[in-house]
Amino acid sequence: MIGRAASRLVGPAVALALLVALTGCGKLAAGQGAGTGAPALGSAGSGPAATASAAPTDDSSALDAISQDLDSASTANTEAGSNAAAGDQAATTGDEP
Amino acid sequence: MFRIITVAAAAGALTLGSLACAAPALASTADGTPTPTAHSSLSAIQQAGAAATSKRIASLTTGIGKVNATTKLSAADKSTVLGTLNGDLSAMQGLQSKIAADTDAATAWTDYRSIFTQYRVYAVALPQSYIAAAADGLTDTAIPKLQSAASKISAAFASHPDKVTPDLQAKLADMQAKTADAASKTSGLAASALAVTPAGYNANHAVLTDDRAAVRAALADTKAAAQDGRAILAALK
Repeated sequence: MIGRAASRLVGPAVALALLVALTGCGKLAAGQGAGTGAPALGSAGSGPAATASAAPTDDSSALDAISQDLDSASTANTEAGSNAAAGDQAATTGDEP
Repeated sequence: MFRIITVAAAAGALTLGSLACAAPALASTADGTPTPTAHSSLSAIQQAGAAATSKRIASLTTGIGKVNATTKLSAADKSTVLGTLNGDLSAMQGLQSKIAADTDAATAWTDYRSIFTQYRVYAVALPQSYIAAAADGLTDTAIPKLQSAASKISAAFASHPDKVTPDLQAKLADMQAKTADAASKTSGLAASALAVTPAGYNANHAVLTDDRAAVRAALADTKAAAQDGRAILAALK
């Protein structure tokens, strides 16, 4: 009799354990994912920090690229100016009648 | 060949008398050598011929070196320019020898005049080469880089609207307008300059004036556009 009674309790006990596991632990896991967990789950907390540091890097790269374009343009401008001046000089210093 | 034919045609259209009138009788060349006339002695013409050809040989040699060194001329334009300058260099060397060997003043005078009328080293060959180099430098490098910078600045404005002021927007608009204006002014400019021939100059001494002005104006535009870009960049940093 005792064995039968015990076996009747095993099913509900397992079900309860599963319920706790699926609800309680699930919520905990969800909380960790949101970055509200313990410091040991720091990966969740480091996410926003990584994003925050990436933005200035991207901005810096974009500004560097603009600067490089402008440097190249200025160099070409300088050389074009030298060539234009050389053309003017040739025309004015010559002795073409 | 085209150059020779056109020059020969122009030379044929001009009489020796008109050429003689074109040269001031008592003038002197830039290096102090007396400018001969059709009535000058053989030795005077030979002396002036030696000076004029030597001067051009030196300038052409320098110019050829610069053209070979530059990375701004397009391959096609560099080929055209080097063809002209090397051809003129060879011609000047040939004329130098021929004038020195001439035995009568009339022949020496004709050869001497051809230094100018057939080649126009200072009036056409060198200026057109430098104009083409300047135009190609703007077209192939300066303008594309300015367009690229303006595009990136627009993207930066979109990413950081909080940093965009009406003044920065106006500078970007000016940068884009100046770059577009420079592109318009340099479109076909190198080809136009390189198409000028000594015969064209003989007929119209101002034949390169518009091209020279266009490259100057385009250069002013690209410099102003670069300044706009620098000012915007400083504000964004």
